[in-house]
Amino acid sequence: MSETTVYRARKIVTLDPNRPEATHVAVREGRILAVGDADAAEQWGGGRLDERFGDAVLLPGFVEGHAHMMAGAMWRYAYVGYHDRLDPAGALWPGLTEIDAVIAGLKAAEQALPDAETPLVAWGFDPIFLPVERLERRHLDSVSASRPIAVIHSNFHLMTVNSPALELAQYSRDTNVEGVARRPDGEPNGELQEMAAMFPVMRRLSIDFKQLGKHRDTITNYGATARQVGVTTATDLFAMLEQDDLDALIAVTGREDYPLRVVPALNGLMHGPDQVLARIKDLRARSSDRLRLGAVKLMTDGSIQGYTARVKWPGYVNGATNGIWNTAPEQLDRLCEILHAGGIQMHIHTNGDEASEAAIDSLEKATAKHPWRDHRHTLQHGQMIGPAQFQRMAALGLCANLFANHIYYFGDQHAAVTIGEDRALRMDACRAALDAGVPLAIHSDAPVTPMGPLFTAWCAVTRRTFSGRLLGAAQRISVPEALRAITLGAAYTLKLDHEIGSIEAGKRADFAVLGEDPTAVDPEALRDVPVLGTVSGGRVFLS
Amino acid sequence: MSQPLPLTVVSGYLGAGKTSLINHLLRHAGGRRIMVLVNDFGALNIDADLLESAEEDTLTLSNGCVCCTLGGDLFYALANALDRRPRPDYLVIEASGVAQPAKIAMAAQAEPELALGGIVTLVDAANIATLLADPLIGGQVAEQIESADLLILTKTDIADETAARAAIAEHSASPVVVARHGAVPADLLLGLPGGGSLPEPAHLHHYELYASWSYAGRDRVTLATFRQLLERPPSGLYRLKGRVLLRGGGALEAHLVGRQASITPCPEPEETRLVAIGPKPLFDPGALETVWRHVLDKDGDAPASPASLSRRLVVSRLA
Repeated sequence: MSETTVYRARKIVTLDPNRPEATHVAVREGRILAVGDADAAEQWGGGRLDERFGDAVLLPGFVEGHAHMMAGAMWRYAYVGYHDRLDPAGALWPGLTEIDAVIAGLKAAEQALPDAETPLVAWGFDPIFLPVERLERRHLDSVSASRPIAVIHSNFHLMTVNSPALELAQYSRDTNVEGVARRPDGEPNGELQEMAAMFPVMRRLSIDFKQLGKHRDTITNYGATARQVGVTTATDLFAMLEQDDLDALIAVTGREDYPLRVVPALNGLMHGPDQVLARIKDLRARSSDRLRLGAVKLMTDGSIQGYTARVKWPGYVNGATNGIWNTAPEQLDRLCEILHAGGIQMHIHTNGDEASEAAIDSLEKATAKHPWRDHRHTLQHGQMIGPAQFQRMAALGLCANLFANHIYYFGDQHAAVTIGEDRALRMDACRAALDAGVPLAIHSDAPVTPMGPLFTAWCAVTRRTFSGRLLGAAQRISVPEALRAITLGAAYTLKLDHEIGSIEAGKRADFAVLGEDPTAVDPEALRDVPVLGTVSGGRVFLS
Repeated sequence: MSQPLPLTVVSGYLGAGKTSLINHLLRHAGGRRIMVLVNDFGALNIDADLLESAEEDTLTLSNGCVCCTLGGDLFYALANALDRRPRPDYLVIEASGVAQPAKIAMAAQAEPELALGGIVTLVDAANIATLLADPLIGGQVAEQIESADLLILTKTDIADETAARAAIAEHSASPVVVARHGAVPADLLLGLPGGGSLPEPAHLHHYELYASWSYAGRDRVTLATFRQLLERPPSGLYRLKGRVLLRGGGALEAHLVGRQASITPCPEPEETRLVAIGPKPLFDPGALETVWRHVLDKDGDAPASPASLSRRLVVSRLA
């Protein structure tokens, strides 16, 4: 008979209503054999007692329902963001809260480079938080006037580069390209806006996100990043999944020391719908426990802070024209119908309320034509969905994965300059979703904001913005509701709730190992609950 | 550095006829090695006799053309096209039905190894009025028309051409040509073949869709008057390219496509040579000849030194 290990913990919060709390969990063959007290495993022949979690609190392994593998790629570059971050090795990169600190950080990173030619690339920079002085080429020239330098901003839509990098791209005062920002004297100031302007520099500095995304180190780092925040299952939501990507994913996730279950969703727009159907069929055949293939991601609009989200009347408070469709509504109709008829679950990016409505409309038509009740198509972000749209979603069996982290990171901006006070109060409306009976998950969209389900839960519970403001008290949810959203709720949107998301007999032995009980701390302190590591399929990964 | 790779953007809403146009272009490439980036080549239907090999993401044609999928990532595809050896002569991107062609064109303007070969927008005469009035998609369809250097009106056999032209005119003053089944000559879409040299006379005036004009001679011009020509070319002129000798020494290489023109200093050629084309009947070669004679005859301008131009200069044009 296989070995049984009985873990004792200070407390086990199971998310299983039949036994909400326990002290012992018995694990066999990577699965949960029994839950309860010291005798839990007795009727199964007992087991070896393991006390290493004796001071810890176990929760179901967290499930990150909307993040990107790219979160694991950026650490080959220097982090110069405003907020503290941990790298995959567990080292703290303190937030750089002044422009001088950013320059000092860049200088330190420059010193660490092996030779004089290697470009210096940094990421995570956000000028929103450094309002006094804008980062320009002259700052970066003070770091190095000979080595090309590129600082990628946290939104990935901007970068600031130094003079050698501008020269490589042949950008000068004669350049007449939208997106190459200038000083008052007409010289480029080093800021490049949007991909078209960034591309010549990225190409010459060999910054290739697509190559980075399939690198084995990236997949390894993604696992390490997830483990640090208690995540045992994470999506990669918009994956290309070409043959070499897939080979790397299969190899890395198959390693015995890989701590994460990865759920990639195929970019459903890169080929025609018939090709997508065929690809998914192939991909499903290559799934394993730690690599779940078969879902598709679609895009509708852009982002609210980029003014590219499609929003309903009265639009943007600054008068910006309405956003853009990445997929035309009529094309979305066709995609939804073909994929739904083909039995493929869809994760659909919608930020603005007009985009959410278009997605709901498309899915309503598709579900009316082809019966498949348990499809669990999920609207991703859904930041402006209100009660009326949630009611329609509930009627159609749709799920919502809301972008709770936005309340903290961008909530102040949304109230002031994008969609205005009234609609900002009810953004990422977790309360309304639950009240309408819509299955709810919440997410980070890492690397857009850092992965950290307890932080994401804290956002949904407190609705505190970066400035400390409570934005929309009526849409707060309780701590148990938020914990459910980062475990069972997210698992439900991935069709994995029968395997993960709670600590109960029969499920995978996936745990988040915490230093404190998140159900007992002050809700305001939820984000500070320490994560000690994870257990993934019975394998222990302590930080 | 080698000549920049010209990038032509083919835009248009769903069903406007982009695939037909690209099919026609690949079948009538006229010896050009064209690389086409498409969203879905399932729809392309390349004849078996034209197909040399087919891989998952690339079709190689026996006439030297290549067709690749965009794979959802424009910039990755652009980098691949630039790194390809041998590099194609022309790059054509089939934008998605809701793409913003101006954004794709920006990439060609920013990247020194690319040159914008124009934005061509196809318009379905049968439903353009409905689309422009659509509250969800109308704005993006209008933007595609507004960005266009050349508009191609399709399905005029089943729709009211006059009404469609009126709808377009509200958004664009760029030339409009009518095409059936995507039959737009490559000369118009991509420019006359050859690296600055004059094509064979027999090649010109070949199509009934466009007219052409050319000049070769030892005359010299001033930067100022030549620049004026690029800034205010006669109506209907869609493409102009060539090299001109400057008074006082030096020479300029000029490229004009639609609403964009650029001049770059170049080594002195033996003579000034220019070639221009535009859609019929909008483009009148006689009118261009008159303007050109004026440029040649005009003197009194101080000879401007090409040294004042350090690199490619984009000439802003009056709309």
